[in-house]
Amino acid sequence: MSGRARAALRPLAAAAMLLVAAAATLSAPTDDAVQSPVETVGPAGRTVVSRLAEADVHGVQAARRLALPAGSAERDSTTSGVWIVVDVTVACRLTPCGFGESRLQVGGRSYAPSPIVPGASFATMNVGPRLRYRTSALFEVPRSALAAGRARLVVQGARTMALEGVPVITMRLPDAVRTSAAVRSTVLVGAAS
Amino acid sequence: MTPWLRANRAGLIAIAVALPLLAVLLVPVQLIGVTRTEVVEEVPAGASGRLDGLRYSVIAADEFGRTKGLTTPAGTTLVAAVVEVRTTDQRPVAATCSFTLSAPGAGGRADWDPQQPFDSARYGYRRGDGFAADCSAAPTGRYRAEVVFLAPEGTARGASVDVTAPGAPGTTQVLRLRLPAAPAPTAAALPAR
Repeated sequence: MSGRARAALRPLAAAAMLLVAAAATLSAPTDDAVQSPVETVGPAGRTVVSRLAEADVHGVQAARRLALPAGSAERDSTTSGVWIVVDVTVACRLTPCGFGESRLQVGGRSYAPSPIVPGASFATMNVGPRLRYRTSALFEVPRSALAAGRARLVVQGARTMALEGVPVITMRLPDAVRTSAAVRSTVLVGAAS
Repeated sequence: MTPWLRANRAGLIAIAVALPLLAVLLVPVQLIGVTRTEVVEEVPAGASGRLDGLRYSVIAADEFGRTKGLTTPAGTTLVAAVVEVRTTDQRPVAATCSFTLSAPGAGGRADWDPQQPFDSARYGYRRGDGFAADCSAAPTGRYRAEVVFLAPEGTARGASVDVTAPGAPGTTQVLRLRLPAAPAPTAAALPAR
């Protein structure tokens, strides 16, 4: 190859390498994706198990207000949005854990669980392993979020590391918004398998 | 050496040095903050073991559940153990220590934190008088701690009480005290020191 041809090839080769670099950058997973735990996905009504936690969603309601458990201090739960009340049984598997880092994913947005219920609730509980607790996970979302039709509940504790597994439950959102939805007290229901 | 290699040797040497250097630098960064747990001794049931200048032994252990008149939910039980702690000629270095229940099972070894006295009382469990409820890193003389754990039925079989104390920087030391295979007389019935 002549020196002139080689000189002409250099900028082309450089441009090709830039294109490859751009493609690699654009297709690379985001930091969030790299550092997020690995999801074990299952539908509502089935126990979804990861290494550190398990969860089983029994039902979902949407309501404008919450009917807190008897004996709870009075709390104003009126919202301009809507409450998503998820009836769920959860268990830690190897270590004491909580579920405060859980989130409800609806239409590309994530919502943190509400700690509005005083005492032990889905957002604040810290429980021992291999024990199943039934509770209500509460999420305050905009009314427009219901249009998505479906949601994902990511059940995650505070000490979940990257590459750790988390259960994710997919569920259908209700079409109708009730005036009020009953919130369960957090109750130990038995031993996990 | 080809002319191309000769022309680019500086860059090639830089890459050959930089890549392993990056790997060496980045791997330890991921490990910063990760505490390594080291089991210093597995003590057979009935024997005593030493950790950080203190000598520990389980002198009684049992499961307390519905069959013994408690109101624990079906499938769950309270595992109680009395741990005797004695000073030795060596002064403890660590400022803290803690007790956990540890038991093997499906998915790996699980750990339970002790119940607070008001938690175990909720199920009808009565603690013995004169027992400490937790570990003391700087005791004077001998003391007995009554530690109670909420766990699935049958957990006590093959379980141990782990005494945990900080070790060298980045490490945690664990003394594993095996519980007796056949439960000893009830912990709460033991006389206080």
